[in-house]
Amino acid sequence: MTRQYVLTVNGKTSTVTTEPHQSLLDTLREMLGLTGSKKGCDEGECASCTVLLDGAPVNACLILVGDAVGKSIVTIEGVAGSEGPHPLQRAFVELGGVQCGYCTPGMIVSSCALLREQPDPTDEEIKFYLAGNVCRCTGYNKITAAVRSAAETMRAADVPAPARRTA
Amino acid sequence: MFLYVERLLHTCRVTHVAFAVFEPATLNEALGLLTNEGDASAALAGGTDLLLRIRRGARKYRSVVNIKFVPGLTGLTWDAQRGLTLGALTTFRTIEQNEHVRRHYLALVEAARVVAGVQLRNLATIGGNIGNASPSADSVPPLVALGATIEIASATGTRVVPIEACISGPGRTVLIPGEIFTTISVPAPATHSGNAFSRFSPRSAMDIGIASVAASVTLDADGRCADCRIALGAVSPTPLRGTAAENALRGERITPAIADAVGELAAAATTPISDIRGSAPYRRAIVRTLATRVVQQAAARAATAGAR
Repeated sequence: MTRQYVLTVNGKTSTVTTEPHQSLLDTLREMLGLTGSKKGCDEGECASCTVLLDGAPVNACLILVGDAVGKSIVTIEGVAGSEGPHPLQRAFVELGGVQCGYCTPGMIVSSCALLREQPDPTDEEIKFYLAGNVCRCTGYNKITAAVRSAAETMRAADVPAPARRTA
Repeated sequence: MFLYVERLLHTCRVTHVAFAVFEPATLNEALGLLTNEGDASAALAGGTDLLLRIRRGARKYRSVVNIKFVPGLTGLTWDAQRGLTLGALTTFRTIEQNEHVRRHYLALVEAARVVAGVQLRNLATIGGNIGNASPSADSVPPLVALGATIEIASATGTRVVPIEACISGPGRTVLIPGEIFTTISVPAPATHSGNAFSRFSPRSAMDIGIASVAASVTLDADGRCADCRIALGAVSPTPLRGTAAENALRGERITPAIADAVGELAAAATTPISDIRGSAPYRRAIVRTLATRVVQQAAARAATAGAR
């Protein structure tokens, strides 16, 4: 039996009609067309589906759509500002933190949360925070370097991490 | 290859196994729903284990009772006399970041930090970890070593059981249909006590422990062990205490020789299985090493803890 759910995604409110057992990830991808969040494993093992729920990075594949009602949802599509890509996105491109790209949305969304909690993370802190984000291409060094570089850029320019984007 | 294709098909499929979702607003409503639905329903907490079991078809439920929005099941409070009270829905991320837990219950922090990754720890709850009743549940050995109890509620009342008594086998708890875990209580640590947890897994994140050990050690004014509790993880079907190891440690100074003996007695207490993650003798060897280290670490923390 379908129900109506009102979701606030990247500052925009949408109403979707779907089954209550559907995951937030499927809702975002199949009903709202937000396919940036990837469905890598659908079992909470890879974190390529990471979104921010009230600022906290979570696996969208393990959340029922109803659990996201009334919360701020930020996906990779909400990370860039009107002035273009976010410093994290630029750093991933410039430093080769992207190869096949499948893990990248989860890496960047998770890194947004990390940099909000810790604007000047050590390599160890970056690795600890991104330990749940699986990448099968890069060997992680360039990802860590990209996060470190973006952190420097953001501290210098005082760019906020888009943890709780409001309209 | 066939498995791979089947997996691809599974992950590409949009629709998961269907079930109804109840969203009770109060504990009484939740307990009533669980009683009425009986075996056909399960309480949904963080969902990180339950949803997977349903999607894989390992368990069939007509409905889930989503208890995430039931007031009183979240929240973490610390009191110097009463100790730590954790709502069953407290997430691992909350536990690992809480200043009181970090100050008094490092064993719990050390266990929380090795659970999966940050994203999953923002969802996974301590009550769910206990209820899932995996022998490798990371929260269980520290809670057992710390002497924690859990409150169980049903429509007819509440009961309190020690953590080690609430798990009756792999994937099985003492909960009967219509009951849920509500709060976990961890006693305030004694003066001059310390605790520690260590787990071995081949990967440091997103992996399940092959074996783990938690210990809580209280020292007397002489630096001898006044009391201790040692809990062993992933080496028995139900939570296990290293009673012989505890008895050997009580009254003794924490020397490398006694820590070594404790490790041997702890390993002897285990009844591990052999599986893809490790053989029984391997698990026993790991416990021996971990127990030796963990009691020394807990004792070292006790020595610097002072009066609380």
